[in-house]
Amino acid sequence: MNKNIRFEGITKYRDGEPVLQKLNLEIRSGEFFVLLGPSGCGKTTLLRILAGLESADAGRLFLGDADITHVPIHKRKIHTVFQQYALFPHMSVSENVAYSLRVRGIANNEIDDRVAHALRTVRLGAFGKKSVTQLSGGQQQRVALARALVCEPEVLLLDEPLAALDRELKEQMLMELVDLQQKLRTTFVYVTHDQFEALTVADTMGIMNRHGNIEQLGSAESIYEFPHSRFVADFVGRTNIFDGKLRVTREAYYIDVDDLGSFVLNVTPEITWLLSGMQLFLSIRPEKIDISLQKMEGFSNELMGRVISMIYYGRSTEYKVLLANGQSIMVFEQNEHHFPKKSIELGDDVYLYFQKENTVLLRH
Amino acid sequence: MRVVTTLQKIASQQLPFLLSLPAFLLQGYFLLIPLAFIVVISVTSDALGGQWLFTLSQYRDLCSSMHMKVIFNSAVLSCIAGGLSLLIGYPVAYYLAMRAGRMKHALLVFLILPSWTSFIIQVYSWFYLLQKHGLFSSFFYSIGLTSEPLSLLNNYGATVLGMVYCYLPFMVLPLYTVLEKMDKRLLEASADLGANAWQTFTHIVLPLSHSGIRVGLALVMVPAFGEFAIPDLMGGVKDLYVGHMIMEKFLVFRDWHSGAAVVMLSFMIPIVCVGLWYLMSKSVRYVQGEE
Repeated sequence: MNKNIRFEGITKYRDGEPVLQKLNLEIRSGEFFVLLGPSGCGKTTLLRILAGLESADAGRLFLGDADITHVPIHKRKIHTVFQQYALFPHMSVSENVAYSLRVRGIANNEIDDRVAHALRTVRLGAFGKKSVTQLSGGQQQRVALARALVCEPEVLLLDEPLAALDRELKEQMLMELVDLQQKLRTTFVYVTHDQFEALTVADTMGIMNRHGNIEQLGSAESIYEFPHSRFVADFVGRTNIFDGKLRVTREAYYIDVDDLGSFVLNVTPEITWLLSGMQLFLSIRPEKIDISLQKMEGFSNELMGRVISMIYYGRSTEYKVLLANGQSIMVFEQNEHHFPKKSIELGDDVYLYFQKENTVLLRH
Repeated sequence: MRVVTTLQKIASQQLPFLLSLPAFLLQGYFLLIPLAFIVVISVTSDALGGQWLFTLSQYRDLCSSMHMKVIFNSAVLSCIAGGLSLLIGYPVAYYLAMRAGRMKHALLVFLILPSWTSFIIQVYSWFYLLQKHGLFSSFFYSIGLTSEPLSLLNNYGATVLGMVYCYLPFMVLPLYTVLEKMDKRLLEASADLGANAWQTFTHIVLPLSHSGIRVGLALVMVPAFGEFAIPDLMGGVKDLYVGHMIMEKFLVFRDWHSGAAVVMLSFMIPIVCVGLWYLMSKSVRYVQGEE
């Protein structure tokens, strides 16, 4: 049965300012969808409209074929894992998990079975009788998950659920969430401003910009490798942007950057909007640039610069290189050998190389 | 030098204690010491030769049916005042904390404003509103509800009205505080999980406001138990209350020993009740209600 979520022309104002404007979005049933955007961009508002905690000022919301725009919150089979978990402090773990079943008037013995099963699913089988205030952050997170999942909602919403956890626990919980989603096949809609979380869990990602528009929709890989705009390229991962003018010759496409030179571009047939002389941006990810003290052959583009900062991360090193036009760019190098033949030092003049296939052209 | 720093250290550690010392001294001098006197007076009797002898006869006398009736009257009035203030005060506090938005501080001031005037003035104001030819009785007469101007004073209803009116802020304030501090996301979570508004109220709001209810009831019922000005002025001395009994013993009969025993009683009964209730609500965990 099709249970896709469909937002049609959703508009929401807050204090007279538009938060969301005529937003259209379809989330496929059974997938792990991540809505990624900067703080205050309206992604949480969209989630709250989906949950029923807020109503849109205009537009319609569908779950499958049913129009649920005006269905009150407690009648939606959409449950939320809240940012600070919002566990009921006067109830035990089991009572918290049982809540949604209890308010629906389900028989006690069935509640017990389902609660026990839900707690086992989140690996809290032995914690039922504990008070929720005695639990650690990660355990509270699991209780919130079990509580939202126990009555088998059609959609599970997660509002920055891991924001309060430290990095190690966060990574572990992300893996558990992916496993859980693959097992249950419930539609998960996960809202975050953390691109690391988004890239880790998403089947499909929607990138929301500061104006509350979905700027790009796609798989984690497609968004990282083929961003449609400067905003997406910058927000998901890190990148270097060159600002230049397009020059088309019989042999190839070039971008001319003032005071720096020109770069050869890789133009695929689907890019149809190119016009000679147009102003555009070239994005190249830091890990796709090679850095070297010696001149090398076989690269389509070459740059020269001076290392102005270095951060050693162990498995990789991040270099900041100042170019002739005063712009500095980032370069990541994997540290593949114990003893590199010759290591790059701060202040060294270096050559930078990248292939035209690894660049992305951006219109805005 | 070291002496100075040591002194500073002691001063900074003990500062909260030093600052609260005046309050402790005041409380000790004006509350605890007189209270100790009352305890002593209540368990002694004047013997010949000015000697005070230990006795429990005053307490035994209190068990007489006449005294029990008075205590019963006070207990009933205290329960009615507590119950009605809770029923009226809870919605008020709920509205102020959850719905009033920016207006809440202004509304809160309106609520407390009357209690900034003297208690007796509040009671007398009601007196003028309720008496024969007063505002209410004239109004009822003018719209033809009554055939002649009636006094609305000197009945049990007037007593209850006065009690609830005067004690309502003491119920609303603790309730407001606890509701205001309540994490509103819990209410969202409850609705999100499928609870309707009534279920959210009974399962989440009510149990989480227990402490406010407890404090509110204690603040209303304990003084209400010893109250006599309101029943006296508005109820027209039809029933006797503990307050009357204390006044009578001290001022009419000049029997300080039995007077002190009544004071002890009017003091201990509410404290014991509140204490028992506190212990009970601590041991009995909240049990979720039915659908």
